[in-house]
Amino acid sequence: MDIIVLVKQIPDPEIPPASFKIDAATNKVVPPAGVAPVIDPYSEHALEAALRLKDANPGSVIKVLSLGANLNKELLKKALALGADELILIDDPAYADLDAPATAGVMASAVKKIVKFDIILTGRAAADWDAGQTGLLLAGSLNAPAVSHARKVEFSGGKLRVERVVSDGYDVIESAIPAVITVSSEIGKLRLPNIKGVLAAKKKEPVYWKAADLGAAPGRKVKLVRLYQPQREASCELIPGATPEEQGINLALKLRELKLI
Amino acid sequence: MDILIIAEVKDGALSPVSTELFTAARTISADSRVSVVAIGNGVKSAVLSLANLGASVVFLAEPRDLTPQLAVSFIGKAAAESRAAVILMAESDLGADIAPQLASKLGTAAVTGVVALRNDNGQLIITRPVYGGNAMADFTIDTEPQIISIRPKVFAPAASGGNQTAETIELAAESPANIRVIEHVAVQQQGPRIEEAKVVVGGGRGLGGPEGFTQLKQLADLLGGVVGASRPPCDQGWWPETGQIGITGKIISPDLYIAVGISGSSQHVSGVTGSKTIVAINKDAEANIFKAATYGVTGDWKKVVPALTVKIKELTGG
Ligand SMILES: Cc1cc2nc3c(=O)[nH]c(=O)nc-3n(C[C@H](O)[C@H](O)[C@H](O)COP(=O)(O)OP(=O)(O)OC[C@H]3O[C@@H](n4cnc5c(N)ncnc54)[C@H](O)[C@@H]3O)c2cc1C
Repeated sequence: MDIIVLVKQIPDPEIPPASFKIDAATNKVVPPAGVAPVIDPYSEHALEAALRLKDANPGSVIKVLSLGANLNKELLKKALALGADELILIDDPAYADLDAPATAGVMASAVKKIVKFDIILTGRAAADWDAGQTGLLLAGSLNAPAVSHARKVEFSGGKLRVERVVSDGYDVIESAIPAVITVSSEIGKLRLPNIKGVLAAKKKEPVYWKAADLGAAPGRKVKLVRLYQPQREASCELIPGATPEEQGINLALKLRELKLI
Repeated sequence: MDILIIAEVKDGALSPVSTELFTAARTISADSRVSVVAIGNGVKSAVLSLANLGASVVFLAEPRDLTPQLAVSFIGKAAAESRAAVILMAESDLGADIAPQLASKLGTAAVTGVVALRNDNGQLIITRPVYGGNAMADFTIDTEPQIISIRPKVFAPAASGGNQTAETIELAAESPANIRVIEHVAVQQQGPRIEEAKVVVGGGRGLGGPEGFTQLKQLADLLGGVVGASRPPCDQGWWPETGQIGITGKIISPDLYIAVGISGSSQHVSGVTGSKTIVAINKDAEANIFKAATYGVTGDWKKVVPALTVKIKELTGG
């Protein structure tokens, strides 16, 4: 199979909430000092789905696409260490601030440049903007069927069988190829690279594409007017008690007083 | 600003969140013309209630097998006929899937998971959490129709205006041949759905293993509530994934949420801020959950929870 995976580089989403800062003048997140960007966790799940498909369908080729400005080559080479065959970095200052439709538009041009694909895997969302749109918009641009929130992706008899997470369980969906699948965390963690993979990746270089290779940067349809931190009232009343048991009892009394029990 | 609402219907009944979309529509403009696509099975039985909520036109879409692709095809037709400037849908299993696909089909853009809407002199300001709930963003959409998917429970259900009529138009669409739903597997759940429960007891990594959840279950049963979890217990298999609370799990809004052994990451907290009262039990006084909580106990849950459970039993005679 010809597999394409979209992998995004984002600011570390697991930093403590207290270190999260916004520059109100530029509407941008201020990266905390000393915290390096990471691969978006959902992209990692998409990569794992791709590797499993390759395990089950030997001879498959995985091409990883990452889009942004100033991408960290060493970080993204992790995909090569794990068994991806090619890493394509679409890196151009023109691509620093795209909205979801524009991102999907650039990705669609890149996919058309690659020409052949059976399946495109993306995360169900990226953990910075959390919008959950790129994969589905890309499917629209490519006129391919889309399945979102996948927790399992299999290929047999020329068809994809995908389990899609829904609120009360999951749907089993059968799709023709080519298709676009967005992957959820339920699929499981990304495997760890082995020494052989790491050494092989050291020797491999990513391919770089610029805006000029893919056409002009599309404009924004969605404008960010303001980015700000939610105000939460920090007025937590602590339940007294000399011992944890006493605190438990006092909590019960408090809940009774509040008529919650 | 004419508005098109996507109302999900199951066995003839309107999904609760669909009635909330009418309140959202009125927030945008009190005198907009509101059309509705009623999509699902038994849509005809929902027409009267949709008319009473303020729909002037109801498009009926009753596919045999509802795939998002088919929904997009139906809605695309209704969008063209209604010429609405804004399309509202719920951020549900279906809505999350179709908002971007519809945007792509109509050559416009969507904002998903919206938690607030404001009409600023004819310009719609659309608010949603970003960065795992660490930040909020206000957006505008420059193209029409503006597609907006709204989180459940953000708006109150609209009150019925009573005895109105609506024009109905049946929509036809062809099933896409390249994709189909073969099976729906529902995971058995005890008690009310976590999204609708009045009391939720959540367990985190601090429980240290699956056994702790047995104790939380006892507590939840006593309170007539359900148990949920932060992400790590679901990843570890201590608690089913359908019970995960947070941006990747369920957004809850109970009267009482008790967070046990949960540190309060923004990804978790942004799923519980709709709770009326939040109680945090955590041994770390600096834990972020205390910033979101109304009441806090700083202590070891292994001692706090059994004492709490016994006392509640005594107080309620349970
Ligand atoms: C993209 C993305 C999406 C995510 N989505 C979600 C989501 O939907 N939901 C979610 O919950 N998380 C989500 N997360 C994970 C989130 O960032 C946190 O890692 C997670 O919420 C932490 O869970 P926790 O609070 O249970 O564990 P921890 O952060 O490890 O906290 C455990 C807490 O237990 C306390 N504790 C330990 N022992 C005891 C004891 N004996 N008594 C009392 N207290 C004790 C500790 O003091 C600590 O505060 C997501 C992360 C990412 C990157």
